[in-house]
Amino acid sequence: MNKSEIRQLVITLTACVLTGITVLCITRHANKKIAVVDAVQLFNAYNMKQELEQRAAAHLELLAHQADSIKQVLTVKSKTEGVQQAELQALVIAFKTAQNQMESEYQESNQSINEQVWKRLNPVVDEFGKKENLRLIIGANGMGSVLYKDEYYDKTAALIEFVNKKYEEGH
Amino acid sequence: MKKDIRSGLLAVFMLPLFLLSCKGKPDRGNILEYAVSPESGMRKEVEIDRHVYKFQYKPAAYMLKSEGLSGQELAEREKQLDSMVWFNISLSIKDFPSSPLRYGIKGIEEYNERLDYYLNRAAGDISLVYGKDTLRAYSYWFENNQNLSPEETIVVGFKLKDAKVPVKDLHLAFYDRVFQNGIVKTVIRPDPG
Repeated sequence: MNKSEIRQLVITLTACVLTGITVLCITRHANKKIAVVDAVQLFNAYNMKQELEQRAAAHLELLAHQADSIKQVLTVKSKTEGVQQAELQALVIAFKTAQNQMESEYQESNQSINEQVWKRLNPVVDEFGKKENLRLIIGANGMGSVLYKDEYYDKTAALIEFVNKKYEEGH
Repeated sequence: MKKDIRSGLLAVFMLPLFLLSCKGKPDRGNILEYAVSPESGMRKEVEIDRHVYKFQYKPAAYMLKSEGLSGQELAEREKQLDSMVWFNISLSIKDFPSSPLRYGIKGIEEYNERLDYYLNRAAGDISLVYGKDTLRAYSYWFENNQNLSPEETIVVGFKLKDAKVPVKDLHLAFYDRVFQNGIVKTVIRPDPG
């Protein structure tokens, strides 16, 4: 094999390798049509969700304090001699009412936040999908809907950044 | 004849281009026109599930011009506007011809509850972040249009702590508890240059 033939061989091999890499890149890029997003992480990292929870927390804490105060009075009075049974009964009812109110408002608040957050997230997730030319976004929620994902398909961080930017700038 | 047709066609195609070029950018010197133009960055719109929130920043120059004052009255008004930042927040429902307060209501009680919220409580749900300060509404009123227009307007003013005129970004937030759309935010650049 002379020098010219060796050079020809090297050029051919290099061309083959480059073609292979190009085809691989194109195939890989073309397949990038599906993304997996951790829905729980997205929900919890959405700035609006955190701000709505902060707003609700003050009111819920107040209700919890009210229930605690009644409980304290009830504990003290139940240990004090000469307190009427009817008075204790009234305090028990007041405590249960306060506790029920707190639990019911907590549940209502959670449901309301949940609805408002998804109402805002859904159209922005659509927009993200279109912008990234995705055909499908799978929302993993840790309940077994996605058993394994290659990190390559995980768009959670990018989507969190996108939704928060949209929220803060009001688009 | 052919030449005439060609000239005619050319004129038809060129006319829209000519008209577009004539339209141009809004005149910065005319603050009433400029402030409401999208190019100024003083007007923002956020749409959530058919609910449209329009935020209009009203710089002092805009307010003075729109009020048409002169002499002593103008000087006094200028002083009043020092350190103040004013916005209009307009609410409407896309493709709904009546007031948003009437949208999807079940009865007059619900309408009255909504009205009461916008008249008396919504001020507590509007805030402005300016630099490191989070400002609460200093002045607020709700312009009830009595269903004469499909848009309701809130006028809200904030008092800046250490500035006579805003120079930094204005981050306005409104948590509209009536329509449960979450917190609606927008960023307005007072002087985009």
